[in-house]
Amino acid sequence: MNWNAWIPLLVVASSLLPGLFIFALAEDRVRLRTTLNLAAALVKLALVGWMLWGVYQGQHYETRLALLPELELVLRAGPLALFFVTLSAVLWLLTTVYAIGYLEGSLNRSRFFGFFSLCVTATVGVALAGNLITFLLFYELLTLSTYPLIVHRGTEVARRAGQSYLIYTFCGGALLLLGTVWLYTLTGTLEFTPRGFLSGLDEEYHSVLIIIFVLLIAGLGVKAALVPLHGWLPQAMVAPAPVSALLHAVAVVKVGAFGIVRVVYEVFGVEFAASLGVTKPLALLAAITIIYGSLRALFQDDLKRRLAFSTVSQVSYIVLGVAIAGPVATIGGVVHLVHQGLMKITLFFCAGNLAETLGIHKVSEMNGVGRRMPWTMAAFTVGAFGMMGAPPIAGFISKWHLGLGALEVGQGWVVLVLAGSSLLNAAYFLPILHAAWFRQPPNAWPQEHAYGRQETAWALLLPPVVTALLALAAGLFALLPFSPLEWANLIARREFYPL
Amino acid sequence: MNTLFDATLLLLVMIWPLLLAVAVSFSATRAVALRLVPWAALPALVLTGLFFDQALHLPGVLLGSVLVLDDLGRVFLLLVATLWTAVGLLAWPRPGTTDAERYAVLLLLAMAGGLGLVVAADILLFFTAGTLTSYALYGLLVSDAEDSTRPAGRILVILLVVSDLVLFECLLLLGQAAGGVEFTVVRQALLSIEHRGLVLGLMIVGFGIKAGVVGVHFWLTPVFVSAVPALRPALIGFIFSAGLLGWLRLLPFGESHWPGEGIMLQWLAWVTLGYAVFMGLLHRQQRAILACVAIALTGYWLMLMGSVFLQPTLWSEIDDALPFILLQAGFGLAALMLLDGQTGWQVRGRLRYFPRGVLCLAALLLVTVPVILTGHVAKVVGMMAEPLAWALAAITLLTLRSVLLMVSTVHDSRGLKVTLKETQHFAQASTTRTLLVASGLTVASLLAAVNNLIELSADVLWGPILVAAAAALLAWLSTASRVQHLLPAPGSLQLRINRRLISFLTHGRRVVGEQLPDWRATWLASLQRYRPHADSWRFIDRIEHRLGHWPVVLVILLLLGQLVAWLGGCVFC
Repeated sequence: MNWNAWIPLLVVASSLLPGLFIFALAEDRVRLRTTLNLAAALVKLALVGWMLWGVYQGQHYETRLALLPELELVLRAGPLALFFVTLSAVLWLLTTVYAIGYLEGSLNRSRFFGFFSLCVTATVGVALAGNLITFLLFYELLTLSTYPLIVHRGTEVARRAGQSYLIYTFCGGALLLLGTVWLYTLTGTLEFTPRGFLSGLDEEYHSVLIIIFVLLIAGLGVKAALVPLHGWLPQAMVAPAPVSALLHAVAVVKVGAFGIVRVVYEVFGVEFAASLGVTKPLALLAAITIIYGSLRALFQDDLKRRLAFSTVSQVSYIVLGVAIAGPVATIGGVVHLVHQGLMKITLFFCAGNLAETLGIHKVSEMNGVGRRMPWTMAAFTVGAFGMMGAPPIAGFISKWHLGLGALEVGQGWVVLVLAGSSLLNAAYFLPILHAAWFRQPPNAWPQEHAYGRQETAWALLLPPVVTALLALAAGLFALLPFSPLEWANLIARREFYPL
Repeated sequence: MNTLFDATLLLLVMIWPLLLAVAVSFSATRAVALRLVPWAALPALVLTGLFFDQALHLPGVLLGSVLVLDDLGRVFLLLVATLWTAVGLLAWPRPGTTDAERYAVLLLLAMAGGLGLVVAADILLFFTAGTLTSYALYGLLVSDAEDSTRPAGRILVILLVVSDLVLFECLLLLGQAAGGVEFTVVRQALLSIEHRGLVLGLMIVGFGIKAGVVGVHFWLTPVFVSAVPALRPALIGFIFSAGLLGWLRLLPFGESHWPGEGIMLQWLAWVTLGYAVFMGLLHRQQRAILACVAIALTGYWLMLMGSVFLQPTLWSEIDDALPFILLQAGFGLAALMLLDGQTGWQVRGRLRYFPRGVLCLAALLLVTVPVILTGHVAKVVGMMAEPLAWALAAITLLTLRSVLLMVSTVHDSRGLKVTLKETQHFAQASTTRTLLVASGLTVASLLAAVNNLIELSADVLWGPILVAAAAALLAWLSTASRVQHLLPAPGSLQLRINRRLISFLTHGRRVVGEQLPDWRATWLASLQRYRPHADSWRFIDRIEHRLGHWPVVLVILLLLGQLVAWLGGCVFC
């Protein structure tokens, strides 16, 4: 086993070990806990950077550990895996900084940060999984590690949201397990392969494969919040803002969407899936989710709830890109993994800032907040415009590729879905921006905390500003080396559509 | 000429206002940056002085962007940069005033977008700059505006969103067909694209919203009426750069003979002109009439575009002259907009007639625009093109009507203090400064006109001048003081019809606004007597309550739009 074989494992361990250590820390060991959190996030980032450069140069990173007879725990850093790991590592660092500021002085911080680290461990594990069984293991670990974060506040509402989350995700997990086992009995392998490993099966199995596809997509669709499996997501927004941010941008929802990408491309193979006739219904389901999520978001006065429905809509862009089954659409879908993450985490950070600094939880309370918190609202504006698909922010690049990809394969209706979704996004984001920037502020905010001359604490302000800048840069400098778009191009070129 | 210097200057056209916007956002650099706001368009103005074409490739930006300075771009850059400098001078947010930073940032973003539109050489950068300038301009308009401006802003922002979506679809189709994003590639692709009618339709609607094509022009009049004086030149710059320039950059004029599309455009132009004249004659507010002038000008451009599609050889005649004609039109209209409501200033001595002189000159220059262009067309077709003559008449009629109303306002308000509608955040532009800026724009328009006129002989101008003179006479007759003498005699048929019409409209309004809601309430109440505890009624009430919210209305419209688009999409697919 060479050095490269250890790095994927180290990336997983870099958050697992500190997480376990943090559980044991006393509540008052603030400095040590903070140091551990930040150091672990930085180490993970460094390791990911190392692998990123290596994979770009064509190196291979893979860890194999025996799990069961004929089944191995495989961690492999291919371009797609690394794409998602990089997103997780970068946003984990920023979310950790944010969470440190957000939870300052609150109870049960050791428990929170312990599970927080486990959550990131599971996400990275899912991303690096080299086969479906490894994927499944980390997928379930993610469910278990996220539940305590959702119910962290301990209120009745949080408990109910947690219950709902557990019911949904365990059912989803069960479907995924069923599909996985069935697939294993048919093929004897679960190894992710760039263009799928099922195309060689006899035609007599095709109807079974369709059922397996439905099982896998339904299982993953719960976390990806595909309609009608999205019920848990708007409820889960009762979690603290850093959790919501991570949940919507990297961890749970994105893991579901990432799983669908893997199933379509690396289990079935996109061409084989299209020949089975399963991609068109998937595209239709994604389109319905996109429009439905936006419509529901339109009527929410609770800011985080509005953002949650927006996530339901936006994550399905990834699924849509995959289901369109063309090279350019694939790039659009895959790049939206990162773009949506950057934009959505910005919005959730900002929502958290408003709640923490001024006690604002509702859209109707946001009048004139741009004057009181200009930097926060500037970041929010970037995120909102990005969600609408306005150039030059990252969301535009995703939509452009999705639209081009759809036209390329003769599915013009997708362009109309994109336009409809953008219009609805504008309808629920522009009134917020108008109220925040151009309406008169109230005489007093619901629950204002003073932070001296600053609009809020530095730890709360810095992460949204950085993520907003990243979202802007990802769109504006879309073709620079190592940009998300260039990396998505690399994924499509090397793995899914090699010339 | 130093290439590096030119490239840097080209880059600075858009970057410099953005850098200033960033500097305004930080307290350490704010004071200095705010002082530089009026000069944010300076690199653009300097660049217009360079006589070499420039192109700067930015491979990492968007999907491979290019900045360019060509003949058309140079003239547009001069127009837009001058107009934004005028805005900067008049709307300078001084350090220390409330919300000065926010105003300055919005102003600089709108300026960067407006200038970026001109130097963009690819569809994505153009789209980006258009989005930037649109929303920032909306922000400027509604910033601490009076109540009348908010509805205008709302109409504007809804139409901007629709415009962006329509353009997004249009550019997607073009980008897919062209396999690239540069204007030159896209223009060529348009010649052979499969769904040309659809793309042209999207283009006309998308850019037409910004240019003021009838049917999608609804923002123009309310925004023109309610915008603060200092922002008015920006509106003219927006119409020209975000609307008209889009057509000029993307449509393959002179390379394509598309009679069907040409006739369609001419019909659209007729409707646009007819609407502008009709509304212009109904309005008595000068700025509303100026909005109609802007709409009529757009109608004129559409008529011209239609004529070029019908007869591509026309393009070679007007190609060189058109940029300067646009310059003349832009400066003239902006000067008129600035002078509106400002001509009642108390100027004593020899300069007593100066404001009205500038006003009349600006109007004359604006009227000369279609005269010159119609003259150019007459050189090719050998006679005056009839549709263009009608368009010329419409513009002359409306322009002179607005000016006559402005002058009569001066007459009526002589001796009264004319208050400027400005908020405390904008620079309190003195009357002198506004007059100086308007005069400067008029002089610029005059210089462009001289350049345009020297190329034409009297024989081709004779016909257009006659038409303009006839329209001027009509304008004179249509102004308020004349209309009073032309009121129908008591007992005449016209008066009776008028009375009937007014009565019908009044009753109709009462039925729709008052009686229908009463009937509905009575009907619902009587039904509820039969089923007082039925949940379904509560449900309906809730839905009805929701129906009162504008997002719901928007959704219904959207669904309707989706349905129509879907049906269109089925045909398209």
